[in-house]
Amino acid sequence: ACGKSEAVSNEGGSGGKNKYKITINNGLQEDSSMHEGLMRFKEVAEEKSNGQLQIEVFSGATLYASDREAIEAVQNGNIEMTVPPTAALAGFSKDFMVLDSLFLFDEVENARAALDGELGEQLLDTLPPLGLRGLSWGEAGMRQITNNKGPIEKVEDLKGLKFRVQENPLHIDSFNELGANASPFAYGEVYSALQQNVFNAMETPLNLIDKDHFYEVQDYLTISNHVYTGEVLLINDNFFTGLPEELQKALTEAAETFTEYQRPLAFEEVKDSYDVVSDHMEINELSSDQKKEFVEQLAPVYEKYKAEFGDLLELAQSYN
Amino acid sequence: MTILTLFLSFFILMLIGVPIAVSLGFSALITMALSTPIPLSTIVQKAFTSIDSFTLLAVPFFILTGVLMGHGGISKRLLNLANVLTGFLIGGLAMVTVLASMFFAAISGSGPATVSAIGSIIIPTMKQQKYDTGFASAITAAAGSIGVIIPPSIPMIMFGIIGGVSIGGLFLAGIIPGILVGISLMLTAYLISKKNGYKGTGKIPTFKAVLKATNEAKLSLLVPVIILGGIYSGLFSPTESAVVGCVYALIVGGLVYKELSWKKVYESFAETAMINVTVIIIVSFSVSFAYLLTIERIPGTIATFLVGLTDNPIMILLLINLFLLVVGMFLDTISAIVIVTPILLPIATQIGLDPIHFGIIMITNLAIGYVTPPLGVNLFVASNIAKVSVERVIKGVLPFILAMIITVIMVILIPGLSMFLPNLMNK
Amino acid sequence: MKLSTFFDKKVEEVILVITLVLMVALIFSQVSLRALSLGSLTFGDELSRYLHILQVWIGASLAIRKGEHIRITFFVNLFSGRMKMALDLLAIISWFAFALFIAVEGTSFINGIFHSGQTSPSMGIPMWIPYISIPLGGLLMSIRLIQQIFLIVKNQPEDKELV
Ligand code: NA
Ligand code: NA
Repeated sequence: ACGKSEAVSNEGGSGGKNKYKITINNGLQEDSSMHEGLMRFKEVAEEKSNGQLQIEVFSGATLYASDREAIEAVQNGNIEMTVPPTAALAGFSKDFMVLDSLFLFDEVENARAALDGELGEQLLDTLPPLGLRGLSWGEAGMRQITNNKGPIEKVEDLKGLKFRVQENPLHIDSFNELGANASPFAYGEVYSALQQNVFNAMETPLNLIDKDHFYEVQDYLTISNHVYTGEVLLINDNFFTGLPEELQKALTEAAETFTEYQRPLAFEEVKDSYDVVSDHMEINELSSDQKKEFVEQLAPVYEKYKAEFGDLLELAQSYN
Repeated sequence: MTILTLFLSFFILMLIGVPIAVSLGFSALITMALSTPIPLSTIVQKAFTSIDSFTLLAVPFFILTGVLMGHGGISKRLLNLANVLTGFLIGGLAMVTVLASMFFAAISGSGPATVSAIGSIIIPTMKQQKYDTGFASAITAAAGSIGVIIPPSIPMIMFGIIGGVSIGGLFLAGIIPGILVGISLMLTAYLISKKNGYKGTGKIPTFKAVLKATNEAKLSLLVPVIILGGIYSGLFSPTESAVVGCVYALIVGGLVYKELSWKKVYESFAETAMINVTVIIIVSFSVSFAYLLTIERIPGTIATFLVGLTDNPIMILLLINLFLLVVGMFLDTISAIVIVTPILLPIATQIGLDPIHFGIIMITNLAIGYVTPPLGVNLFVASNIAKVSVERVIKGVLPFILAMIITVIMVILIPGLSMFLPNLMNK
Repeated sequence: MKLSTFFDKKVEEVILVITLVLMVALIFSQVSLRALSLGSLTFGDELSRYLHILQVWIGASLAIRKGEHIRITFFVNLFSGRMKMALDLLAIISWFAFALFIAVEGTSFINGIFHSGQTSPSMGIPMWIPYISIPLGGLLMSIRLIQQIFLIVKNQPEDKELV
């Protein structure tokens, strides 16, 4: 963590004040609500700082192919900001893994309340010692299950599915516990792996099922809402604390606007994506009774990870 | 300014003989230090993350399959089959060279590997039969280019990774253009042979002879079936199919043909790792280079410039084509792909081209680069095997380059040549 | 084989062969397990990627000794005698400077990762371990390049044309 805020120039029309350049990496495409949210963030921050902050947004993973790499780059001060999903932060701060627990939040609203409240605060507090700082939250909706065999209505239906999961021990354990044959697989190869039946099931947020065309290679969509995908607006801590106070304030306020602006957009995006994929996939939704069966089946996994999460798990559950 | 520093330092380093990998990394370092605020540790991080990819593992695995097949007696059997099939024609051995290269291309993912596997057997034979040595090396060098057009193909894997394009799709799309290049080379060789009086054996093969040669080569011919069949039946991904290819080659060469001793196996692994290193290390540094291009928004600038010149998609494509030919003259295929893909692919999709179609155009173009001077790796390999000057190989290869350019133009103008098979598979 | 020859020409090669064998074994087991529905090798993917990176960076040093790096020689070959030697030395020295940069900057980068406590996504091992390949490769390259400078001055580098 050797990032420092460096003034890029002393000239320009901002009353002889230093200008600061901020590069933001975004793994999602330019047509995503995330990109729109970041452009709004840029607008507000530049305006509130009277042009002292100059923000450039790079979407579509053009700067960094993976979120892990981008977080590391921010930590190291190679760029100033990125917006990873919380799952990618687990390798940096273990506590974030609690958010990967299956069926943690019943509703998007509960998850938002948890992140805006005590849970979010505790999680973000783990970042500054790592050279990182979370300014605010964005989201990409809930993760859903897709497959090629049939609708998933009970635990039994997952049995034997060749199930692609993220590189995340908690998810590997969870889906294996549910009876699937779960293994991690490089995201970039997933589409062709599904097309060729190397895998016949996966789980991902609705907007990606739409934008990355997974509906072309998956027949059944189960609205399981099993994980809420929160995203953290992340900045290099040394860079941030090295800024003049009024610019810190401008960034913090812009970050709040970002959350207010991006969340409803993300919600709309999910609805639009639902409409797109519903033309191509057979859709069913897990009822709360059906979900209960999954939760019961997962008891050993919750037990296994309880020690690691400590009180965070209960804190999170308290928002339901 | 930044871009000038980047390209100028790159070309100078490359010209004075600094390896291309290091030229890429060092010019990125110089540029970051002199004209951007980007911290230098970016280069270290990118050196790691750029090659931290599962898909990239297909490269060593496909190289290994090819090497094991070569040492395990596979190329011999493929050549024999090609000889039975085309040896009787005018310019018989030249025809055999092209056909055998096409067979071998279906196993090997690299151009130079194809040249050395086929060339080391056929060039001495052609010399014996009074073929001009320059011509013999030229046809071998040119036919070796097919190695990267017919799948598997290391450049296609690179293009797929960098451009986010389906590697399975690219593999399928390369089959027809690869066969087309083979046919065009055969036609050219036929015309030259007729003029120079190179005769074939004249004996039209009996059905029995064809059957016998096919039977002897059947385990070799099974490799592409296993690799492509494995991918399209859904048993494994491209990377995994490559590893299955390795294990199959080990079993056939070691247990069936019994031509692979432990010593040969060790040597094959060592040889593979060394070739792999020289390819992947370029990727390792080129990504810092590409990062600078991206952060300076260069691809967009070039695209705007190109689209400003003309809005006729065919004209833009022909311009891109010309550009690729020039790039292929000076850069090796892998470096060219990693540097040029991020610049050109967005332009291609912008003018409505399917990324797979564009990938095949690009790879066929760069395959020509294997035989264009001054930097044409296949030329060097062929001249090395034939013990003849590079100049003589270059002279001999010119008509073949022309034939390949005509084929590329067909591939550009008729999208169906590339897209027919992938579309068929997607139905 | 003399011990010095072993260290000059064989150690790295043995490492390359071992890493490649492991990569083949890991991915092949992973495919077999999945094809036979026997479960999965959750760490196979990540481990083989890290082995591959190690192989490439150790190999980059051996490739110097064997003259295997892909480079353009037609320009320097236009010259001969002292001028060619000067250009060759210039190339090697630039290369050396870069390799040394990788070794030094790489070490400090890893130091940062070491202190951040980052772990790998799949195996959960400390992330500085796989990263070590980079400065290690840089260091080995630097040593090889010094050796190469001596060989050029004594006029006997093993240098193949581009392959
Ligand atoms: Na091939
Ligand atoms: Na060339």
